[in-house]
Amino acid sequence: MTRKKINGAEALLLSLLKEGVDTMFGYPGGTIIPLYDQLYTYSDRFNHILVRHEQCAVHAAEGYSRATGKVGVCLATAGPGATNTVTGIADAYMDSTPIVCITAQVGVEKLGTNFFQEADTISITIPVTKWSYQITSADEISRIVAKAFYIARTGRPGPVLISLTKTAQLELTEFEYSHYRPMNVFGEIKSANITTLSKEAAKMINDSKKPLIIAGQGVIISGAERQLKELAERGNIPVASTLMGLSSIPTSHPLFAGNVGMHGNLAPNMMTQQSDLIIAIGMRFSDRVTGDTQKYAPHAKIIHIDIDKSEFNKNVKTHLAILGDATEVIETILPKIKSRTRAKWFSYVKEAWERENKAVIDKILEREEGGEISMAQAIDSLSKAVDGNAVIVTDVGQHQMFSARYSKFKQTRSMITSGGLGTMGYGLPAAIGAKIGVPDREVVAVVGDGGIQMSLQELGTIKQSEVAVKIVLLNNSFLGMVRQWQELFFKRRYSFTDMVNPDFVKIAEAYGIKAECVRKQEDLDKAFKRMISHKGAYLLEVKTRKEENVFPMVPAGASLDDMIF
Amino acid sequence: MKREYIVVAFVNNQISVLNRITSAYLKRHINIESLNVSESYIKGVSTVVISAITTKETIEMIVNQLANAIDILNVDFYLQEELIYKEMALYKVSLKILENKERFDNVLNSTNTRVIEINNDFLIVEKSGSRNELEKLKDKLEHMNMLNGFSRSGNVVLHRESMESLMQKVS
Ligand SMILES: Cc1ncc(C[n+]2csc(CCOP(=O)(O)OP(=O)(O)O)c2C)c(N)n1
Repeated sequence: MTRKKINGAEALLLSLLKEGVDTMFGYPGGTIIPLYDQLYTYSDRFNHILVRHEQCAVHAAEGYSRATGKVGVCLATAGPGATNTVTGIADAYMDSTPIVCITAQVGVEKLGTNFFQEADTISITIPVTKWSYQITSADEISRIVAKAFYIARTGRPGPVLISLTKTAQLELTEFEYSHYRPMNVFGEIKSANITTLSKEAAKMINDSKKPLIIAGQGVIISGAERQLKELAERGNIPVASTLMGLSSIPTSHPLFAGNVGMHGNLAPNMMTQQSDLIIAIGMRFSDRVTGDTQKYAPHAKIIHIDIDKSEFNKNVKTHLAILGDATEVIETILPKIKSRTRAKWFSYVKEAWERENKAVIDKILEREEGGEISMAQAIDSLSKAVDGNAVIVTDVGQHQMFSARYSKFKQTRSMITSGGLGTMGYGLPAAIGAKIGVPDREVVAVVGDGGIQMSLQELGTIKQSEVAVKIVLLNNSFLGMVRQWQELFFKRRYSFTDMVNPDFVKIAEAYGIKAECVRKQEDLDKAFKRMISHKGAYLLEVKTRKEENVFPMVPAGASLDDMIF
Repeated sequence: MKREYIVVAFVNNQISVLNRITSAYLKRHINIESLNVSESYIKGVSTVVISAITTKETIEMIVNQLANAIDILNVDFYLQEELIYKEMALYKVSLKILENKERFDNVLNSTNTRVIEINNDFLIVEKSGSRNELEKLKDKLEHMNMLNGFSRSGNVVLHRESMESLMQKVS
């Protein structure tokens, strides 16, 4: 008996179902019509969110993935649809976000002829994908989809691109599916030496007077939040977080020491410089974290736990590199860890915090009747309104750094931000994706007046798909972060950073989204309460101080010792 | 310090793998001096040999990046002396060289070259050896004003490792 034949487009959807996909973000076009035609039939099996720009389909898939831990899926047509996805894919690549991006391609016999809407998507995306493949025959579909999902989520996750020719969409095939089993070791880690190395690590930790754990996003990707907390508690070790690692440990945890890096907290940055042992977990010593690497952590030995071997000794020299999944590595180390009091070290942490509180935080949060709003006050007020339980999704700029500094997090996967690529326009679509992924959680996009206008059209997606995201627009009428650099390093020459903006409240209302604007400090808390108690989508525009700076700051290329206030 | 590093990669014989490899060099603004792709002795696996002049730090980063690529089964970098390493070159030589038997013996016969074609206009000579040896002959012929054309194959390399240990690496 011969099996029923189906076309490639249907085989693709069936393959996605086999991978557990029920949600995708996309935008149709001529070359991908066969796939969308099948989607019409399968509309009860998939929640397809129609975005307003393909870049945002990718960002939404990223937000979905970061909020849920699942692989995000996006669809786009050939040519311009595919090239529009590139920024999103590059963003996912930098931040190790597992997504599978399916873009259509012209028919096989037309490849290379500059056919209408032909773009060489594979070549364009090679440097920013973990893997990519062009499918030219329907028979390949199930095998390639299985491999794509495996690769996207395994090892250090990342984006995979499938270029699906029209030929493969239309061709008939017999559908058969089996999950991918790797023939060789890519992505999978041979963990034979973890035991030996963990002994050495435990000894280094037990011997250390001034240890500091730095948690990166790897902790979250690995699901090692509990292990991280146990390691800290068992050894009595302070934990700092990178921007990408935020929410891996609750902000209120007594051992949480704050954020490291350019706009991090004084304490963990100074601790880095004083520490005798840094335990780096799932982080990559990015330049935004280290400042001048020559002067980074001058007294510390470094234990680096990561799943990507290529990160070892890349930016800073590691004394002990342990290759493996964070959960497994920490679990192996844990039983050997002894607790130490380290009273001096903790009093140092306390002093540094008192210094930052006095010099920066207390002042900036101090309210004054009729006073102009600081971004810090807005984030502080938001954090209280959601009681630290929301998923905060940011765009890129000052508001992002204020969000990182002043948000409180109680649960993991609560901070979604574009760290590696710093992609303006990320916030709104990523928040849409996150909300679709975790509908029961409050999801708040924190965006600037510059960034929101890079994906403003997604208000249409919110309207059409009734996505109940809250949007907090911190409007300083400036490209604030660039203006800050111009002020500090370019003699206040504000070259093209002031913004003449539209009436954002009216724009939101035109999309049927409830909106309001606040300008005075005393109106903040009530406005956030109104926003949170509203059921559907909501835009709260907060007019903020025009020329506020994010402090403290480590100027680009400077040492962590040289934070400016 | 910059010097020549030879990267040897065993890769799935598949579309786009080569692009992925060269993109790792392009990303760091490194020029590829020579590149050779050929089937290895394992079916479906190709050997890619790339030489480029750069620093050890950079070549390490390139190799680490390549090692992460899905269709690259094994990759490492070497200095010239660590590999069995040969190149072949073809020389288009003017017929004038035949006019003086002594000179002919001196320049061509004594240097392990092989004449593979003689016609009315020139002779084609083949020689294999290290790049240095090939360049030396080229310079000599040029100096004598006898060189009308020249082409090199790029590197053909073999590991000094045993077949078994290699098979283990790629499977
Ligand atoms: C796509 C893109 N273009 C340009 C930049 C450079 N950039 C970084 S922050 C920033 C200013 C952002 O301004 P705004 O969105 O108003 O946020 P603010 O800094 O004022 O909070 C710019 C232009 C970027 N990160 N991404």
